[in-house]
Amino acid sequence: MKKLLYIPVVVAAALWSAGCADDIGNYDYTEINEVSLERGNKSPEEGKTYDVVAFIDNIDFDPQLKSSLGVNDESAYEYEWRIMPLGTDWSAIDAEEITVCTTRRINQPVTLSPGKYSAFFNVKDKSTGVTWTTCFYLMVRSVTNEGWLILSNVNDKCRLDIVYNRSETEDLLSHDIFQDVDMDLGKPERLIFNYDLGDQATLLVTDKNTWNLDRVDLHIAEENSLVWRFGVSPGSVRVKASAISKFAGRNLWAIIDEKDDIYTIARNVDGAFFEFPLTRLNGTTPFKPAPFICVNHSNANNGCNPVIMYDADHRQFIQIHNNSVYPSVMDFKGRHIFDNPTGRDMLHMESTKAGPIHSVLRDPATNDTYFYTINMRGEYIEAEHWWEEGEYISYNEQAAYGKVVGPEIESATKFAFHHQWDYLFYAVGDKVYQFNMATPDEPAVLVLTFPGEEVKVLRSNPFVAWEAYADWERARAFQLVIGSDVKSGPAATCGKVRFYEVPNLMQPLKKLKEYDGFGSIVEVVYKERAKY
Amino acid sequence: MKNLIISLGLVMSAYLFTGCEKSLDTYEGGNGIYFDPWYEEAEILNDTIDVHWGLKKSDITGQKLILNVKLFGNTAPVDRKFSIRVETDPEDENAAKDGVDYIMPPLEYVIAAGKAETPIEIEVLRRPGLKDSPRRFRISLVESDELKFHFSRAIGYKDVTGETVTRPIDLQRVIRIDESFPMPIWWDYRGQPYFGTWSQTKAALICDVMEIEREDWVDKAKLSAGYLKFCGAFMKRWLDEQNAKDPDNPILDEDGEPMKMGVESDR
Repeated sequence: MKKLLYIPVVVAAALWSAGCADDIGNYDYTEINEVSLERGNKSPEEGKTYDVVAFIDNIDFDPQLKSSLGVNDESAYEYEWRIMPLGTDWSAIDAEEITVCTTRRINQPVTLSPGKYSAFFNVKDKSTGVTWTTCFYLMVRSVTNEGWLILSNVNDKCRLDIVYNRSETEDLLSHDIFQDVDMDLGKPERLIFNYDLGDQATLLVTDKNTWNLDRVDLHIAEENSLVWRFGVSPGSVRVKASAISKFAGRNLWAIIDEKDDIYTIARNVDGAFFEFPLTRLNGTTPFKPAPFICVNHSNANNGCNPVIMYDADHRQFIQIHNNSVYPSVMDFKGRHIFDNPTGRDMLHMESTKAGPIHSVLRDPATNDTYFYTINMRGEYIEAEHWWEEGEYISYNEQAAYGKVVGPEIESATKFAFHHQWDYLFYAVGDKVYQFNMATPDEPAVLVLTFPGEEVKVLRSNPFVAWEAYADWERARAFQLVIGSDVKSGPAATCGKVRFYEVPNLMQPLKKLKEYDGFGSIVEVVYKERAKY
Repeated sequence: MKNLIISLGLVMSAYLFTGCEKSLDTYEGGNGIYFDPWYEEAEILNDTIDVHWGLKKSDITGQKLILNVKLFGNTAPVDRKFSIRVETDPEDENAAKDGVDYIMPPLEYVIAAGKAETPIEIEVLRRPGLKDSPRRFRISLVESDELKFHFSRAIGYKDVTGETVTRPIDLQRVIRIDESFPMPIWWDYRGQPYFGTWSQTKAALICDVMEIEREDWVDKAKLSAGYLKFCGAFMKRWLDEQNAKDPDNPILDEDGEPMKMGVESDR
């Protein structure tokens, strides 16, 4: 037994001695052929993201190999181009399915769905079996997944065109994407984008029905009729207003239909429907809503009440509270600068990315026009202890109010607030006026005229998505979009759309882009890219 | 020391040889039968299968159950016979009757050559008055020379003396037949706000009015939360309409009070 005690000591000593031994080795070290790519436009660059547009661009690389041993014979290698959606589980991938090309040169059209992809160029040295990989990324976009949607009317038929901003200066146009649709869609009434990247809710409204256009390719069919989103499906529905409240205490999708009834979908409940009309104040008093719904688009106001609307019967702002199903009269906290009820009729209301909700009301007695700005606030109250959940409180603030003075204001029906400066634009006939709300005593000034045309759309378009937009992309939120018809122009080509930069200090607007050849303009709205 | 080295050498040699062995040990005992512990995609934790006729519309009077008998052991190149007994306890007041509560199934079966299971099909019937008098019967496997009882799960219970003993549960299946309409498991977290207090009468009415299959209703994943929310709101309106037509005879729940939906449907 005593001898056994020596064993661990002997083993440890042997291991220790072995650790000190020089590795004399018994391998034959030979230099391996290291393969890399020549840097240049034709080689994919490791880690770089390439922007491509589906069905328009090609994936086009002609990489030149660099061999450390000078093996430059192209047939000495095997090649593979692999493309897979970013973040896909490798174990769920069939290598053959994601291999799109097996030659050194690749030049093929992009037919991928919009989204971001990981791409790999693999070069396998046939003599050693070693594979050298260059990893890069493809950001695939499509002209239907995002872009300016221009809805126009051609002889009471719908026409939808898309302007896709490929860069700050380069655009791609898709004309009349409904031309192959078999259905009679009817006469276009409005186009609404609800700023939700999942559901999207890009609503085309005609005098026949409302369709929720496919979020990727915008296709329209019976299955994307909005009637299927109702618990009791109506034969048809024509939405007057729609909004989704993402930055509120409740995630609601609210609509007003052609019967002036309000419906909501509780989007936090899986598979929820538009159920029954909610067009009663506090569930009791019926009212007619003005055709506007606004929501807070700013995450700084998380937890605010979901929806603001206007009661046209009692001439007052109303809201759907976080803790209520039915609308109720809006109350305010803080300074009081206008009354509610206002006693006035609503002409316009719009949401902004920064949060403020602007509206234009007209006094029925005097025909004077007023602007109102409201903030829907949400505030997170920390719990007493860190392990307890806090709570959101919601309230509203009156932010701005004043009379709009300026030429022809009494007959203006088209308005757009600027989402950076305190400007209100309004259009009458062929003229566009600019009013500075920061100096409300100064009358609006004429800033644009379009002789022989009639302005049909004035718009500031918020960019709401949580996207890594480039600066030039984000700047589009502060451009003024004007859609107009050439009065004597043919129905199929009378529409024009112009984009203007709006400088500070009431300086002249600067035209950035102009497109024409549309039908009679009904709406211009930007559809942000869908998420997957 | 020398012995130690020899011992180590022997051990290493043994490992070396076992590492080269290519055949695996296989089961060499007798073969047996038992009831599949899984029934309708769920493991049953005792030997009882409930047949709730309340989950079927009232005009449906028969349904078939499939009980799988599994093989324990090896498959064989020939068919192997076994039999079953269909029985009730003589003193059981709720004993099911052949031709009234079930159709007597064949009593002889085989595990077919090359197969490891065989189904037993039982047709269960819906007798009038089942609501007040549930019924039950037992299907027991019977050993044969070829297929014996080698495997079963077991559960513990206390016998008359208070001793905890175990009994096998996969050698028989008790079929319990009633008219009940069980509360869906989702009711705990969704039913109350949309539909209020649970009652079988209320659930049956909701299914009838909304034309929901009762089995879909109790399935935990068949109906979305959004649809149930809509059902609550719809039923609230439906009840209001019906009660308005005949205010003196409102629709009553099991407790004799007018039927009500949950607070979130009160609109």
